[in-house]
Amino acid sequence: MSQFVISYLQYNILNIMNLEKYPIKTNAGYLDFEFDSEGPNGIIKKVVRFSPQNSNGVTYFNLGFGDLDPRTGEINDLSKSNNNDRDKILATVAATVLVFTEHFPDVMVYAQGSTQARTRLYQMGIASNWEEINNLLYVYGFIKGEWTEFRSDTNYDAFLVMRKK
Amino acid sequence: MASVISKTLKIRVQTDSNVKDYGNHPFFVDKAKKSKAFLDEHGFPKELLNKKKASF
Repeated sequence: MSQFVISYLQYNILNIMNLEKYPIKTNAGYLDFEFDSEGPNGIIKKVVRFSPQNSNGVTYFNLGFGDLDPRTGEINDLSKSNNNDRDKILATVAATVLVFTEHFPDVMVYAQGSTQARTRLYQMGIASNWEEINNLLYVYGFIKGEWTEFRSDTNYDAFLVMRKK
Repeated sequence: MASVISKTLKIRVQTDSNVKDYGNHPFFVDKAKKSKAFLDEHGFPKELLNKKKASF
């Protein structure tokens, strides 16, 4: 059996075991990721970008995420696509973080939604994928003026994650 | 175009030169600036900084 077939079987078996995710595309830099949401409202292109930044002498990457309008090139993170695939989208965004940190293991990733409701969605994404995420990432949430280790029953204002060794 | 399976995630990730570099897209530039303002004000978790230092 060829390596490709073994890998493909492994992929399918493990994909069934884990939460459903969309296939991910990225470029050579592994900073930009795209996937297509599919549902009753058609195909909606989603983009995730890990932007390098520096604060207080510490380099980190900001996770940006939104819907791409292929006609205008505009990206929007306030629209509701109503494609009935919220959990699949959250699992896919979480997957991009894991793939990104696989390639950049020593950096921190910052994530904050455009609204409190969106930040809450990130929290649900982390909580829903906690088994996978906790094995691989340190996760901190910002609440009441301080950073604390992530708890699924707490509503945070922002998140920072870093790859475990 | 090439497909690889993430070692830790076991998900198919396709590298595709058609995926744009969004580094200069105003949407992401603005988001990154906002994150910097937040972290300039609130800083990073000390535990995470220590882990980061320990990794080098």
